[in-house]
This record gives sequence, structure tokens and C-alpha cells, in this order.
Amino acid sequence: MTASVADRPVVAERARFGAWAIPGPLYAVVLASTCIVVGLIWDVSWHRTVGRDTFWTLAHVLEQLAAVIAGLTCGYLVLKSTFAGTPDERATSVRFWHFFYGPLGAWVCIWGTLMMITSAPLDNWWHNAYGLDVKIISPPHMVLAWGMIAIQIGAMLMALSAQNRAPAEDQRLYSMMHAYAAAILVTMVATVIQEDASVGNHMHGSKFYQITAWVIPLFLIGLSRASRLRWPATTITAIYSAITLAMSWILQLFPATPKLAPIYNAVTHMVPPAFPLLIIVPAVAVDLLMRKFGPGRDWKLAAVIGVTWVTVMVAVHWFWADFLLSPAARNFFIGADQWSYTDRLGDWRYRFWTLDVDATGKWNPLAFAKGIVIAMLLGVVSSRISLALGSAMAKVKR
Amino acid sequence: MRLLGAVVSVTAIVAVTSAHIGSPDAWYEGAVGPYHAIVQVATPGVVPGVATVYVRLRDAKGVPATGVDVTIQANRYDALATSPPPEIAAPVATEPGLYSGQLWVMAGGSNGVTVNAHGGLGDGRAVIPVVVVANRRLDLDPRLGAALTAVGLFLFIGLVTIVGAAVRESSLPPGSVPDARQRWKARTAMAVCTAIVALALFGGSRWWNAEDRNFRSSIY
Repeated sequence: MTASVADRPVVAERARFGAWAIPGPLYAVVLASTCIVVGLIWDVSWHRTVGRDTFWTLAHVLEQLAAVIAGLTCGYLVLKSTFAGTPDERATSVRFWHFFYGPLGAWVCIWGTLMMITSAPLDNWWHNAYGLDVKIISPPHMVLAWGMIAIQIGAMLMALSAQNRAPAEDQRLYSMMHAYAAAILVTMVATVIQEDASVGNHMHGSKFYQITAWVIPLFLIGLSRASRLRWPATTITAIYSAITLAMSWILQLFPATPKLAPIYNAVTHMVPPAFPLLIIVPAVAVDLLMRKFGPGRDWKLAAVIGVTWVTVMVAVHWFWADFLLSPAARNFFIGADQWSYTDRLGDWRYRFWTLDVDATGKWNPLAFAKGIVIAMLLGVVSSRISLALGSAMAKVKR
Repeated sequence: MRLLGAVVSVTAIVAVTSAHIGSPDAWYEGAVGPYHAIVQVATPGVVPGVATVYVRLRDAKGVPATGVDVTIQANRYDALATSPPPEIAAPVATEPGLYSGQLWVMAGGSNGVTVNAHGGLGDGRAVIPVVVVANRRLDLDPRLGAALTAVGLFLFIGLVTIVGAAVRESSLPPGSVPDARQRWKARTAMAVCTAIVALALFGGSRWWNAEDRNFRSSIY
């Protein structure tokens, strides 16, 4: 096999350090990805607990540092490949504007960094124009979110290209790195949708299943298709669960009080993220289905995944929601019933929200069923798009 | 001649009697413990936003009171839980007796700004009622708009180029050169990407306009 930029450092470093050696730039972008997701979850917790908004909170600094690490590392890779690249480095690069060379993942990371930097003045103007937004989904935040997502995708593409070029004995290492980067991406996406799909209160409404059927398979299915692990979706969702739980438990250890008024809920510790969605359960089903169907039958596979995903999600989360709303879940490990300092506490905490109701306001099973059918359709479309993207990612070698 | 005289008279009346009515700021003049205080709360134009508080303290003889520890805090009338720690209003170097600080006002409507003073003459406290509503709309600075447009265009072109490069070369074995078919597929992908991103930008623009309309409908 032709030696390449991914192989040579590994071969050389393996001679010194053994089999578990990874090219430096890949380490750096994965580190940047980790900083982004930790910073994001921390930032949301900060806004829900302390409320203080200055650009230079530690969580913001961590996120910007991630952009700097990713941007500088990938910028270096591109400049080196272009102006001082070896034939192997250029051979494993894609061309940009006929002049520049660099790994595909590096270009995506650079784009993501620029998006993150662009979002800062836009977000600052937005706050001055319309007030500090106390919600996640606003136009400038979406610019930032896509920048962060791009850095995650860039990291994954770099891991995938290394996986797809590596000798068999090193593939598992790169596959695990890809799974880790993919899990960070899934964690980010779950954080973005948390206002409508995170706590037990959401889980008896079809809207929860529609959102999760569209958003999560859109990323998870393709990322699994590109991996060479035996249980890729399961591995990715297991890492997502571990990241979310770790952040929940670590954040709760830190005392904190609100610094902005009005305070309606006197929190005393950092408010944690919600317990991770139990997407590991439908992920197991996804792995089994993908193995059973194999490649070449993607329309059928997408249809089966879409229906199965929603069915398993409902089966699991419907009853899990009952537990989350019960007193048994109100402890450090599950972290239920923890609210922002701006929330006026009341009985609404223990009720289900956004239920599918009829004209009289009562829960209507037919309306719920209709909503679930829509969720399944969304799941099918999302899975089909994701499978196509995943098939392309599985072939990335540069 | 009589018409001219009437026009001149009306114009003069308008010029002399014109006044600005309805400043969004809140003013207080009165005691803060042993100090005589004039407090101005310059409310933010948007909510949540940052209010600037100016506190001018004098003693009973009208001498500016220096060396006083002045703190400020804002709260809504219906805040049920504790208050956050107060902010420091720092002395203004060029104006003895004047103190200034900033406060985040997170919720619109009836708020109260509490001024605390602790100094050589003693301690004092005053609560100033402040009504905070959105009262102005900020236009996008043309230079910022131009810069964001330029960067946005660069990102748009960059994204389309990345998609083209991905389809054209990323799956090729190292060292291979794309053939005509790969290049054609890349151009098609770039065209599709252009359409999708253009649609997304259109959607984003409509979203921005909707947010702006909602905001304008809430301006006092």
C-alpha cells in the first residue's frame, strides 16, 4: 500500500510508542471537538444557573479556544500541504480553488472556525438590537451551531480518511476516534433540540418523537454507515450517554448561585443537562438492521429504520417519562426536576407538556397516533438522506 | 400680510413651547440615608439589556460625598426567591460625588433599582421604581452589514467549493486524478449545494424578518 501522510507518522510513531499512536493534527481537532461540546453544555448550564452574560465566561472561552485550535491546526495543515507538502501529503489532499491542498476534513474545520468567528459580532449586534436572547435557537446561534457542527464533521472526516487508508490492524483505533467524534456531534445536536426534546415532560407528546426522528437519525445513521465498527450506532450513542452523564454529574458538584435578577428559583449548584435520551436502545436496533440489510438496499433499509426507530423510541421513552417525573428520579444520578433560576416553580414540572389534545383539551390517542405516523415518515426521509451521506463518507480517503 | 404674520406667530409658538416628553429613564431625587441623592437609571432600549445607573451623592451642606461604598441592584416586583449580590457603582474619577454602575435587567415591566450607600456619614438605601420596556430598534450598522455580507459570501462560496472537492476527489485513492465523470458529478453537487444553501439563506432571512416584526410589535 502506498505510504501516506496518515500512515507515515503512525508507522514511525509505532516504532517508538507502539500501535496506539495517532497523527498530531487528528488529536488536535478531536481535542477541539471535545472542548466545543464541554463548553456548550457548560454554557447552557451557566446561563441557567448564574445568568451572568459577558462574552468572556469560562465556557465561552473554552468554545473559542476550540475554534482557535481547530482553525490553527487545519490552517497549518493546509498551508503546509500547499507550500511545503510532500508528494504523499498532496496525494492525500483535495484541491481547493486549483491552488490549495489539504485534507477534506481540514477544509471543513476551517470553514467551521470562520462560521464561529462570524457568529460573534452578529450575536453581539443581535443582543444589542433585540435583547439578550434567553433561548438556544436564534439566527446568530444557528450560525454558531453550524460552525461547531462543521468542526465536529471535519474531525470525523479526518478520522474516517485515516480509517479508510489505515492497515487493518490500525483501523479499529481510527474507527473508535470516528465514533468518539460522531458521539460529540450527536451530543451537540441533542443539546440544540433540548428546549423541545429533552425532559420527561416532553415524552408523551408526538412532537418529541417527530423532532428526534428527524434530527438524530439524520446524523446517526450515516455516521454508523461510515464506521467499520461492528456496533457503530450503539458505540456512538453509548459515548453520547457517557459524555452527557459525566457533564451532569460534574456540573452538579459545583456550588453556584444566580447573579442576575429576578430569581424565581434559588438554585445552589450548577443546573445539569437533562438525563441523556435513551437513544442507545433504538441504536442497537439500527445496528442489527444495517447488518441484516447490508449495502445496496437503502430505500428499504431507510423505511424499516424510520419505522423501527420511532416505534422503539415510543416504547422506551413513554414509560421512562413516567419515571423521570416521579420522585424516584429526583436525585444526583438521574438529575431530574432541576430547573433554571428563571423558572417559576409549580405543578407544571410534574405534568406532560405539548400533549396531542382534541378541541376539549383532553389527550387524544388518535391525534397522538397521527403525530407518530408523521414522525415515522420524518424518520424514513432522514434515514435515507443520512444513508446516502454515510455511503459517501465511507469512501473518504483524503 | 396678515397670513404671513399668522404663519410667523404659529412657528414661533411651536419653537418656544416644544419639549421632549416621555424619557425612558427613571429619575429619583431624595434621601439615601444621610445623603442627598440624585439617581438616574438609564434604561436599556431592549429587554433583557444593560441599564446604566448614575448616583450623585451630597451631604447635608451640599458638598459632594466621596469615599462612599455605593452598590446597586435591580429586581422585579414579583421575584419570589433571593436577590443576587449587588453590583458596585464605582466613583467617577472626574466628578466627585458621582458614582456609576451597570445592571442587567432581565425581565421587562415593573422593576426596582435599589441603591445602597455605606460611608462616613452612615448607611442608607433607596428603591427607585423603574419600568423597563423595549423602546427602540437598532438598525444594522452599514459597515457591519457590509462586512457580514462579505464574510457570508466567502463562506457560501467556500462551502460550495468544499462540496465540489469532496465529490470530485475525496473518495479517490491517494494520488489519483479525477476523471471527467467525477468532475461532472462534482459540478452537479455544487449546483445542488448552491440551491440548498440559497434556500436556507432565504429561510434564514424570513426568520430574521419575523423576529424583527415580533420585536417591533412589542416596542413601546
